[in-house]
Amino acid sequence: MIRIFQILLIISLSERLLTPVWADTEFEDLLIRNAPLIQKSSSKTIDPVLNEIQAYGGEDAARFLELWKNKKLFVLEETRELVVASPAGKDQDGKKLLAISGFISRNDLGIVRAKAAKQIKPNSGVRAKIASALAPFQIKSDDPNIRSTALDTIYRRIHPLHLEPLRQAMALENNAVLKERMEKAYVLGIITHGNDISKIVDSIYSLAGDLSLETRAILNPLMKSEIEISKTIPTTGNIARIIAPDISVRPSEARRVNPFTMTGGEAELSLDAAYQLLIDRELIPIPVNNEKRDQVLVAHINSGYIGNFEVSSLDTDAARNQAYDYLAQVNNLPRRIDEEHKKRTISEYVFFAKYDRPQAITDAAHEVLIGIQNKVRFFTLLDLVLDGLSLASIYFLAAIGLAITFGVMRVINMAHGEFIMMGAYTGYVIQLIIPSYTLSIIVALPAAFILTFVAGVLMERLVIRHLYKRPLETLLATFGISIALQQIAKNIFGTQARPLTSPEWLDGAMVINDVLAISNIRIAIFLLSLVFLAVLLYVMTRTRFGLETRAVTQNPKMASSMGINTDKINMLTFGFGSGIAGIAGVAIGLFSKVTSELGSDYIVQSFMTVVVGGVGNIWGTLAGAAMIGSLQKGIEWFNPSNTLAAQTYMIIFIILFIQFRPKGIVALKGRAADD
Amino acid sequence: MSHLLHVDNISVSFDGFKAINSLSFDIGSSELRAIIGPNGAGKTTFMDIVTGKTRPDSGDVFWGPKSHSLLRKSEAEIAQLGIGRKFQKPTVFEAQTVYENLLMALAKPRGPLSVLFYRQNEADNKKINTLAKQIKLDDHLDQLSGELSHGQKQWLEIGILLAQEPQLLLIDEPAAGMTSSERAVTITLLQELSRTRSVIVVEHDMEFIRQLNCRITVLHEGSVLAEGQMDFVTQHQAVIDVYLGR
Amino acid sequence: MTKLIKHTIIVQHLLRHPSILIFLGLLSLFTITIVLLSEGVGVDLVPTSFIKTLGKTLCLCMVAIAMDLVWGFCGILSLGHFAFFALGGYMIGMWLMFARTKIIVLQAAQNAPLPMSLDEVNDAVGTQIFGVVGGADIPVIWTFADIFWVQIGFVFLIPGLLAFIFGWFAFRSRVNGVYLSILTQAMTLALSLYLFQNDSGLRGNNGLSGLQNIPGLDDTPQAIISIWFFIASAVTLGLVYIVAHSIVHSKLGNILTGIRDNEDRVRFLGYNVESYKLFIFVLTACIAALAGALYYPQAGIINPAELAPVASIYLAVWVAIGGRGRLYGAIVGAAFVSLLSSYFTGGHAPDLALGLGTLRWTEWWLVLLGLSFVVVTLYAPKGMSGIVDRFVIKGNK
Repeated sequence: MIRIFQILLIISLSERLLTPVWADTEFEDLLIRNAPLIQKSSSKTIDPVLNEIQAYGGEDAARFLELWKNKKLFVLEETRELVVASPAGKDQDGKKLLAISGFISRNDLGIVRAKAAKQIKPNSGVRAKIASALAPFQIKSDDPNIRSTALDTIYRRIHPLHLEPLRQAMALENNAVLKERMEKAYVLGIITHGNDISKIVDSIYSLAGDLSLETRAILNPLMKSEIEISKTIPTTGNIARIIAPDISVRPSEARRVNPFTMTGGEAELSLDAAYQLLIDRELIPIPVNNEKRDQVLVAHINSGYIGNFEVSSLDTDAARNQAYDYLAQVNNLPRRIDEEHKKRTISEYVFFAKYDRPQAITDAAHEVLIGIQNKVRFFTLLDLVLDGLSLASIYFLAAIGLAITFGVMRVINMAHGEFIMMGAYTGYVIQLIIPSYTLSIIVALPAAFILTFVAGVLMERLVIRHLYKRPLETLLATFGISIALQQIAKNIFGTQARPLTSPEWLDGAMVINDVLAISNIRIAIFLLSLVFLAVLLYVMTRTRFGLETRAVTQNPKMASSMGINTDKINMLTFGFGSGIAGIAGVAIGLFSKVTSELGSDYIVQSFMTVVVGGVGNIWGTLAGAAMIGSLQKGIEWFNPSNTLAAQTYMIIFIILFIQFRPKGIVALKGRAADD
Repeated sequence: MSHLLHVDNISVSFDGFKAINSLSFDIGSSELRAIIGPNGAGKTTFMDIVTGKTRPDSGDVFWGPKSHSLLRKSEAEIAQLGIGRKFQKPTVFEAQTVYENLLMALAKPRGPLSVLFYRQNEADNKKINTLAKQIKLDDHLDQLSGELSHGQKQWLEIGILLAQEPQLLLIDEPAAGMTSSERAVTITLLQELSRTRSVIVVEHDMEFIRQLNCRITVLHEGSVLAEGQMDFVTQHQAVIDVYLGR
Repeated sequence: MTKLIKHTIIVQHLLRHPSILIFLGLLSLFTITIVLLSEGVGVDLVPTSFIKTLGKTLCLCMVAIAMDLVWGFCGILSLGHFAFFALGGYMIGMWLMFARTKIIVLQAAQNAPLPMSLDEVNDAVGTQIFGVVGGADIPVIWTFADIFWVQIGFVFLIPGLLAFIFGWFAFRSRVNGVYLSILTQAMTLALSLYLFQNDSGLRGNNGLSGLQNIPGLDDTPQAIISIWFFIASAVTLGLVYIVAHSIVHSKLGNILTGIRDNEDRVRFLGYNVESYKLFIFVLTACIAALAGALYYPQAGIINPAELAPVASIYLAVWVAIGGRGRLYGAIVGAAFVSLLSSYFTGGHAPDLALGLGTLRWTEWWLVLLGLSFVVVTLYAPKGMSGIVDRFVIKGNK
């Protein structure tokens, strides 16, 4: 029998495979029987083989699956023996070598040339299935890591054959975390593959409030429904809803209606879709639609005429309909379908959605899902708030330097964005010198501050100082500096983005649950902006420099007459504001690409933060950043697919906001503001 | 008697500081009035309210024989009703000639289009020449006003106000920075003007006010402290305490 | 009748200000010379591509005049006028693209057995134009794209309306100085972000293309069309100059400079400053849009990147370098800087060999431009025309 099979195989596939040399156990017999499917595996045909191997069980089966999955199995061309092989370097001629051992005998068989053995290569789809078949073996492994891997596989897709091993493993498990995961996997398995409805319902309820993606992935399909059509309202089956074509909106869709379109969602089934469904289900014959009509018309063209109709006159639907109706009458063709007829046909049928699962299950799933949904919504909202917060801290970092210079000197520094860019490039260059990411960031922060501080002071001395009487012109002069700096950066660093890599401890995220995870870098930036806020508040309210700066902000003439060197204060403030931009640049560079255009991406937002917040006040900038950050995230939430639109709406909102509070959220009042 | 301007119990505060505190004030037609008071007494804020630059927190301002409220009107509308204002610092359009300065101020339709299609004519020319004579600038018509002396700029600003043909002139510190001869000319000019229209002068210089020889209102902390002729005011004990005595 | 009056006013104005005639004379001389030297109709010394560059430069001069009116004379540093310029281009571009696609569609369908219905034509045109952004329907804003005169109306109406709404809000709440500049910049950014969207109805970042092909004139070579546009640009520039000049030298001009120098004084003279600002803002927006409508058929393509905020700042740079408050300054600045820019960034300029290495103009031109702009602001606030003025005044003395 085996021999016959072998011969047949050789003849039919011209493939030499497993030889009978080791075919002396039942398992080998199994393998030989399935040889062609194993060697030429595909994820569509592999299931029966895997089921058989799994059913066989035992160590051999597990070892076979493991080796198979890892592509360690080879067939020797000469002896057709199944061997385990691993690479063993190259011989003198540079040919690859393999170290082989027998699969069953486990004897070391020495080293052969790679060409002498043929590798059995399952593709990734097959490997996933092998892993699934392997899971029941691994779940009972002594190594908790292997058990965990097996659980991962099970979670990816639960197979009915996983259930029993899971139940056994659960009882034996002593690792609390793994045990919990196993129990949950078992519950999910029962829901998907169980037969006992009351057990399934209990399992569903036990998942109430569980936010994990697996749970939702298991529960959602329970609510799956199919559209069916009948002549009368159905009385049996678990009916989800009756669908009125062109009218009724799917309930879950209705809630997700875009808030910017006030009219509500589209009908679940449009008239055309309903009619097409009738055609697809072969309830009515394929009708004469416009396309078919035109085909018939073309077929009947006779030297420029169709009947009495001149072809050149048929440039409207109405004219073509008329011509077709005429042809239909004369030649006894099927009638054309008009809207009226379509509606009438559809009204003869009842469209309804029917659940695949019985009512007890869908009811339970619905209830649990609603609970989960509410919880998800809460955490999504929380996520949104945190997102807004981190965006706000980025804007705060980018804008605060600008706010200081603008507040004190009423000078708009268009090159502020380029100072941010300089900070980011400083970080990049320092990482080239200092390989340790943590150390390089620690060095980069003060280095960026010093560099941009010097640049700011230079700019103030050389340019801004001469333009205090002409604020609009500082805008243009600093713009000149901005394009020059941008181009210089382009000339030095090229146009492609440079990496500023964050240290490892900033890479991860704080995972609260499957909905909410906060990346460490965002937390770090939030903390950084808090530090900034504290430092600035200290400098501005507790130091001599801060006192003098505030004096100059409020009344430069009075300040100078009281012996404050306004010239020096202006210079230092400008340097200070620019230095902060440099530090912000390092922070921004950590999460976005460092290019010469980095600064200009932030400059308009920074301006708006300052303007919205109110000039000359740290709290104002904070309020402005908070408003713009949360607003942008809020609008994105309404219309998540379109960040461009969100930014557009946000800017329009800001333009309107300025109309009603021209001096910003925190405004100076009284005569001091009149200038 | 009907007042030209009736200020009724106005108050305004900035950040808790009461700049004007329940101030009432009247002026009749063709009256010359001086307002004095220490710094922060609310003189400039008072002018801001009358001309529409600042809105009072409470109270009302009425104008003319029909007593229209001025509170809801813009600066431009109030100016068109016939209230002219001269700022503390002389403000004229320095990049333009004296002639152009006066031409802009002439009482004419003030919409953008009527201005675009405006053509100079003899009647307007004559008016401008007369005005220039009145403010002693008839020799400087084609000069850029930025090149004028400080006193001349003050006169030009008064000329600009006159060109609007106002019924009430609010003049903030006209004598500041003037030579004594310029000052004398200014006093005559103001007295002359008050014959045909009302004039309110805010001034620090007591000598200047004495020469103006008119009714005086003393402001203190945003309200009227005393009102009367020079002799009455200078004898007033409260005035001496808060202002003159210091 | 009103036409007659306007006509005589313009004639009067011309007689009173002979300097206009000098400008118009120079402009005509330039135009005629270029046409005579052109590839299309002249002696073939100036290639078509350069004719287009010159025609586009004339349009840029037009926006520069608009910018000078609003900034140099009225003191509003608008960073949004290039947005109006581009919007004008979009409006005419819609007609150019729609009408031409329609002709192509109809030609392709000539041999089809049945004549096309209106719906079919629209479907085909929609697929042709909006296929790149994954659409086939013609958006509502294209409703009149087929009608030339309506789109010409839109060239003025849409940017004018935008300027009116924006200006009405901004001036009413007395937003001034740098605040106003930032607000105009924000407006420009919002508009460009909106246009970058695929569902904006204007083909997202693809923009409108093939605008150099004039519908129905497929047989006319570009060499000839470029001459037409060049002449049209020159004539329009002349007209815009006359209009701007007559505004500047009228009483309106006095008031505008008054607003620039001392807004409060003008207000207390009884002028409604806000409506003057609005008037000049909308008027210059329309001039910018007209310039854009002439520019983009010569450029051939328009996309949202054209109206990035930085473009409007460049516009301010041109006017500042040329000289604010001088109409000819704006024109000289725009022509000089934009031609120089295209010369240096186009890779035509020879590299400069310095002792240490070569200076590549494509890389260093922008640095030079930026720094020269700082120098101009610091040391020659009146720009190039300030230098001219100095000579003229010396000459007079």
